[in-house]
Amino acid sequence: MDQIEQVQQHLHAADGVPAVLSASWEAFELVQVVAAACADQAADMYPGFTFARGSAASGRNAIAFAPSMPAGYAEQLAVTAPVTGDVYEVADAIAGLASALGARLREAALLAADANDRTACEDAALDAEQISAMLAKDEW
Amino acid sequence: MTPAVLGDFLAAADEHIRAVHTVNPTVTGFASAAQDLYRLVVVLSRYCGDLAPCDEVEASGRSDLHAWERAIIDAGAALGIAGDCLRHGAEQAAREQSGPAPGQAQHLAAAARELRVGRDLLHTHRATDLAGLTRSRSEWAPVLTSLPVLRALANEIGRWSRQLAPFAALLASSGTWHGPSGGRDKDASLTAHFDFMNASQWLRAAGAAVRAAVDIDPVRTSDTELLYAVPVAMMPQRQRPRLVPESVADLCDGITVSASRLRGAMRDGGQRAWWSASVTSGGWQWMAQAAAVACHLSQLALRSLATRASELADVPVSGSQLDEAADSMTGMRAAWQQVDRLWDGMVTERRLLSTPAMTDASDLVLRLGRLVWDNPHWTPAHAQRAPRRSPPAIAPGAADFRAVVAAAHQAIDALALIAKVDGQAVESAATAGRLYVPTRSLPEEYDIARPYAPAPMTRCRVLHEAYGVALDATVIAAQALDELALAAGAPSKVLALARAAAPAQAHQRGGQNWPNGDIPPVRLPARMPSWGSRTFTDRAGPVEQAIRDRGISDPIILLRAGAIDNAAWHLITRAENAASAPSPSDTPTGQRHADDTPAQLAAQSFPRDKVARPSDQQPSRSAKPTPSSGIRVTRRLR
Repeated sequence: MDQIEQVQQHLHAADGVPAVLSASWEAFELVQVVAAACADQAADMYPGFTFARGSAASGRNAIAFAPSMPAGYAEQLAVTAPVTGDVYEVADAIAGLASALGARLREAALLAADANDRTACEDAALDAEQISAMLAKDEW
Repeated sequence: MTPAVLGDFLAAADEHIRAVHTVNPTVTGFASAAQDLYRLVVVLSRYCGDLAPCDEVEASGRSDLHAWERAIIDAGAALGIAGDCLRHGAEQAAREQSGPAPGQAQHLAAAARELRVGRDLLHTHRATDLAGLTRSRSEWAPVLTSLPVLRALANEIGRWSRQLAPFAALLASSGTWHGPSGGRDKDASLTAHFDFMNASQWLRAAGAAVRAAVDIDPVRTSDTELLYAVPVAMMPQRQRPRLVPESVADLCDGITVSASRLRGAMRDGGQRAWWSASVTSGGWQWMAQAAAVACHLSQLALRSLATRASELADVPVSGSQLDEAADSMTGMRAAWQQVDRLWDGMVTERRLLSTPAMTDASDLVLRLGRLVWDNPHWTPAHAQRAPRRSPPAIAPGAADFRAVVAAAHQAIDALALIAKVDGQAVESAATAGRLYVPTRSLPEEYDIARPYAPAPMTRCRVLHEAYGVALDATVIAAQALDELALAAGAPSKVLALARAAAPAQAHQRGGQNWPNGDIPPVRLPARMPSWGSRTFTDRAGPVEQAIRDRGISDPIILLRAGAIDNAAWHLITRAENAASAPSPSDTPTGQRHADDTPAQLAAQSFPRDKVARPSDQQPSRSAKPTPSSGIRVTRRLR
């Protein structure tokens, strides 16, 4: 949960399209890793986590298309601590992160000067919104 | 609405043919009846032509034909001659007599009509391509040329021929009664009389040809069940998941429809990966996720049934059988998850475009979820989560129980086709250079100034191998469900019979193999024994091959042999893994299963066909087929 908050802070603190894209990459990777870790913890959440993880991979790949995405090798994110606690709360926390991520990507799309940046941000925002819809405790 | 099956038409034709003898003991409008009998015999002879591996001239020089193949060739030749006689006799009769068609003629005409439609139904499974080659259009195409179907259909044709022979004889005697006397007309009447007598004898000959094969290799109940269950090769109409609550029966029907549509969509889309931009990495990944989720939901449904089994009378399967089938899905889910994860770092030039297969897979997942969870509006979303349905709610009665088994069986069967087609499609896409990886995911030494780079071949190979593993795991689960469906008498048991029958191919016309559908067999990873997944790779394992080498084609025995092969393969794989594992305590459960499973599979009480015989009583392939009670027919020159 700490890592989710940390990534959320990076996202809020990101300034400018490249920084938002970089923070978004990190956020999507975190969603992927956490969703994979949580999927088998509750039978009723397996479908939601599975599809959310797929959307996270799709969103991460979408922003890789953005020309403003900082180049260079990105280490694969690892969860620094095992995912413990109530899996439903974790799901809701990820939904919150994804919601914020979607909003930041929409903002970045508006700010982006390059059409390819805009498209990448909008595509990734859609994926973030799908994650939020899949994992939010309440009807999205 | 359930799709039409061949049995609908065969049963209707059978009723009409039986009725021919009950309407009137004598024929009044015999010219009309003769015409209709001729048409009916022509249809029967065309069925024989469809089934025969070669014509009678080629057959006379072949010693490798199965008794049933020889029987259908002989029956076809006899029916051809009977048809010639009837045509000639009917022409003579028409000169002498006209009048309203008698009741028999109406039944004969109706039988011919039903059989023509039935034959059209069979032909929906094949199509001729631009090169003039016959291609399969459905997964049923190889079943139609299988020995079980040949046995069952030839047996029906032989039975009808025997039933129609007395009627042709009756026409012969009617002709002499009604024909005008004297001069040329008397000659014509006599000719017609002899034509009908000959036709009657050739119809008996056709029946005898088939009966000789029955003596050598009896028709099984499962053969006829399979024949009658052959569906029309047409995608059923989509049934959208409804907003109002659906009953268990409706949900199971919907799952069957979605699975059927999914198979059709996969078949139709399998060839596009090479070139179509609408086939995307996002679509492949989503299908892998849907497969993992569908597997998870099917597993939960089977667990509920396992609890329910002991509470219901008329359910011939035990909780442990259901649990074993559910256990078989654990590896399948893990394999699909692995495919899903490998797609994380790989894309095509476009991200995700919805395909018809995705729509049907989505319907399948939704309905499976609504079957398992107590929420009629269930979706995978967290907000829609609900408690599990209680076992009595998921299967209130034995019929629902069987329907749920069938639903899980249909779902897993469709997923096997996804693994096969998508695995092949991914290989095509890799060959066509359509797979890319994000440059950020490549090690630093890759100095590429673009966001995506062509996927390294190693990654493509790993992905393709993952599909191979998913296919293998799905086949194991599908075979476990085949056995369960047969044991439970689930409506989907026909899938098991068809799967067992499909590889039991009769010889094909001209000595060529029937085209193996538009879905080429998936190449398994090199480390896998070729007999790991027998059914979907079209390769028999050693036990199954040994059974086949003895000329045994009983689908039940073949299924069992396939299960033993797979169990043996599992045992070897597990033994290899255990040998390389750091500590035996790492996998205590898995080790226990490795010890138990092959023995259990080999010893389990397998559902037996009523006429299935022990293997030592089966006819040996080396036994030369009797030339069908000596009826070596040669077409009469007229």
